[in-house]
Amino acid sequence: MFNYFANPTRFLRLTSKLQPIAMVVTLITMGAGLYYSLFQSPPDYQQSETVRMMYVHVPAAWMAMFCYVALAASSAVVLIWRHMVADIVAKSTAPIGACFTFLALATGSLWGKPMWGTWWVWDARLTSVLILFFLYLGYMVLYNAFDEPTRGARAAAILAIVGVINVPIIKFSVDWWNTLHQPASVVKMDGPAIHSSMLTPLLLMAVGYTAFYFWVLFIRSRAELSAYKVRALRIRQAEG
Amino acid sequence: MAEFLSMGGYGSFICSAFGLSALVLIGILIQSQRFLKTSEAELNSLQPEDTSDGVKA
Repeated sequence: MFNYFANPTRFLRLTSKLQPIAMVVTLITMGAGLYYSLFQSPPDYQQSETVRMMYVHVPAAWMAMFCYVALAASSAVVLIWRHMVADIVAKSTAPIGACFTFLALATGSLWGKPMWGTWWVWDARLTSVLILFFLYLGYMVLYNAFDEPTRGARAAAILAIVGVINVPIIKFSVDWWNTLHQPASVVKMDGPAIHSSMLTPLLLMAVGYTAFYFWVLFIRSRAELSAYKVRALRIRQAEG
Repeated sequence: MAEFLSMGGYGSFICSAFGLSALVLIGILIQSQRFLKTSEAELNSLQPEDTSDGVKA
């Protein structure tokens, strides 16, 4: 199956078909998620209304890590099998992941000020997510730093693979070190520790953010594929 | 309405978090769609005989 979709034409057909589905799923789940987040979910007994920021902060943080794993996995395929489609997926994922990471940092800061009394602390969770943001930026800069695109793609892929070590560090930072950030309350061995009235909007927004990633990924992949073909045609024309 | 927007005195933080999220997500969506439009237009100008999505089967 992997080799089947490594064909750019098949991949383009598939993304063109899946793009409207991802769009519909995004709009429905995010619409419902926003309604439940702002109007239906109760205030927290400790954090009162500020808990509503969880519904945009946590899905952004999950997607920041999910996108990085997708980036590293596609980069590994780029390095091992040199598949063009994997390169396109990796290159398209990086800016989306960077946006999610920026949102995780910014909304976390907005939540931290009223609850912790500070916008930022240099603790393990916050610092490791900031490093993740720099890894995304580094990937994009490195990719475009070479005149020959394939060299940039390989260099950036190596950075993406090395940087994946940061993902478990982010996940377990709240257990390994003392931090202001609360420990995991949804993805736990003994089940979620939050009430269904808060879990429902959180999961709706999480599905919405995931569908949004695929929606934008499909758009960007189609654009990158066209840009790739333009480069190939230009080279062919220049060579006469 | 004013009570809803004040959100227990934390309205500015909550509205900023939701507003910023909307701004960034809509921003990358619009930028991606523009990228698709320009790259497909460029490809079609180089191979005007191709009327598909820009890829020959």
